[in-house]
Amino acid sequence: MKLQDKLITEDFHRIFSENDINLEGVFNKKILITGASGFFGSWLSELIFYLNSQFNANISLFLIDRDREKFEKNLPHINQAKFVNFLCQDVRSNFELPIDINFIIHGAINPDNRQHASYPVECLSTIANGLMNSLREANRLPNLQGFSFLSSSSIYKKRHNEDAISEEDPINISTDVKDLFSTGNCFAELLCSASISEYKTPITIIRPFTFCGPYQDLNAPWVLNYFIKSAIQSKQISILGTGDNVYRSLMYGADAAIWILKMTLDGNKGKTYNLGNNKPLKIIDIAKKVQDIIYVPIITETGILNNSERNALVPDTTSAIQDFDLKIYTEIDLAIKKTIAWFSSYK
Amino acid sequence: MIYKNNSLLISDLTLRDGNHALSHQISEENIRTYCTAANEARVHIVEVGHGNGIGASSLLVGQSAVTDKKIIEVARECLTKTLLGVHIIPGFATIERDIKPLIEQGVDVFRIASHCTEADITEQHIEYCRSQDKKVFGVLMMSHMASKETILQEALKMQAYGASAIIIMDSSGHYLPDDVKDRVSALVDHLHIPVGFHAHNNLGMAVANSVAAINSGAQLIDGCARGFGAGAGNTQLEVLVAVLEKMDIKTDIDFYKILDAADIAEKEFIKNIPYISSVSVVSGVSGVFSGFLKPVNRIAAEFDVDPRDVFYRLGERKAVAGQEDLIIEIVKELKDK
Repeated sequence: MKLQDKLITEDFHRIFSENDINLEGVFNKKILITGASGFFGSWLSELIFYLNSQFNANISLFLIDRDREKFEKNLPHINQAKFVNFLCQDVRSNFELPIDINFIIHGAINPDNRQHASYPVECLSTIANGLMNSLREANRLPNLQGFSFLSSSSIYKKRHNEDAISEEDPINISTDVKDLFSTGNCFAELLCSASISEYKTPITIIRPFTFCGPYQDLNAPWVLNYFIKSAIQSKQISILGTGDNVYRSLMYGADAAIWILKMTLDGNKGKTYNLGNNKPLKIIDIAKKVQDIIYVPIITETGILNNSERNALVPDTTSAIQDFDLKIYTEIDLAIKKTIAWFSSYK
Repeated sequence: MIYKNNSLLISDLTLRDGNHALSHQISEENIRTYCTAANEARVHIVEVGHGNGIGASSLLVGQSAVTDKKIIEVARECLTKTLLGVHIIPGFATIERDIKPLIEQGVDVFRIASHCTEADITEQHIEYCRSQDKKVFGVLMMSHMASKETILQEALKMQAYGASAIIIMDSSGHYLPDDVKDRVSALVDHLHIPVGFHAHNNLGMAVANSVAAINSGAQLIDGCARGFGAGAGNTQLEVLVAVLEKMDIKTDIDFYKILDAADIAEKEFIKNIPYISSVSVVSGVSGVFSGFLKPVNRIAAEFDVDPRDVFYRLGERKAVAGQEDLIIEIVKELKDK
């Protein structure tokens, strides 16, 4: 077994042996995941793989992604598995699903703000047309039990204190292209509401916050990814500012996959849930946690390039915890340690 | 006034924009002498290189007297307190051929520039410099050629790519203070990184426009000794420092020593102090890049046409730096008329 696969198997062994998690509702079912090669798609595929191999769950997995090469490269063991059917295509083009699909998890959106800046039309089109296609297919499936739309925490208005953001908090909607990801996801959530109203589609909306773990892209512009990349490359960690006025929370990929699957199975249809860790961390503390594992200097830029604006992105996850009896299975120190171990193995 | 105390970053472009004024013939000795003086004056950043930036030395836009490698080597040796910066236009400069060696040579600040509507081309360069832990600023040139909304969209792209600051250039000295206020305010309101301003003096507004930028929240300002830069020159650095002192804005730059540096530059290599010639005024009004001044004057004289007509035609054609070959085309059109 490859070290990378071992790390993930260990994660699920640890979580399932220490916790009573009931996912039997998905056993012997057919699940479709769009955006399969992304962070959530990869972790959900790993979770299904684990359930099938450890619990004989007999789950059939249908995957849609336009980048099959990436999936093959990152998850070769799943790519070759008999229970997997991979459809290599862009979700914006029409596709047809087997009639007996039971659950759909639509995760084909790209949260990378560099892509939003450079290719705004493509990003909006993927959000709108991709979801439209998934819903069109969903609404003709007689055995569909659950449909989860993975939206984004970007739809919330910017928060300048570390108070957790609840699902009822104000959203950010505008016609300005700089807000395309938040407004695009607002539109997508509205589309979900319309589908529930017109077709009674069993939709649960999930708003992901910030995450860590294997299958993250170290080149993506998120703080922990940058810190880990710097540490692995033995470079200093540079922070624009003191790092004590910006708060993030981090949820590990294995936890996220379990939460998403549970919400899809047992979701209160039509309801919206935040997905993430509700414990705020200053980014300077995140940097120090990385430094504790791989020592590299931390340089804070306190001159003019100091980004002094106080902001936070921390979810209030009370609804998810109460409705599904979920919790954080991987504490932050372990999550960071596992993430570094994963990426170090590729060094 | 939005200005935040003790938060101005001054870049001295005498040895880069000033290179335009000498047809890129600044010498190794000039670089050594001026860098030493600027370093003594505690200027924050000194930018060096060909007028059009690293890798631009060519028959089209003019060949440098000194190679990029040598320029950086000499400047790095002299700048012990001051940061060393370079101007990078993707295309002229590439990551493999230019940026990697520059990092090896110890360049501190990379200013990655594009025409004001083409920020997309800076993505790889900004990301690379940022990944190497270098200070990297996005620069939008010829910013008068686009609306403030477009400028903001392009600045947001650079911010998303990882720029630590965005500088807008008034490359043809076209702005009045209200134009500067309008654009800089829009950026300051919507970006979460600092904003900077680079002026030219075609309409005699360089210092006033720089002050307008500061009063609108800009935190990075460019200047040159004696205003030594393309066309009618840039913001006169030593004057700017004096004005900032008068405004009670502290920069930590030694006022007497920056005056000394300007005197040294004038004595050593500023053969002609930039002034606002009649053609420069037309360049500013028509919104054409100040660096076109020398080639327009030369080619217009050769073909015996009025250089002012050439500038207006270039303005109508929305010519930008790198399109110097348009000058001959336009001069021929005017001649054949």
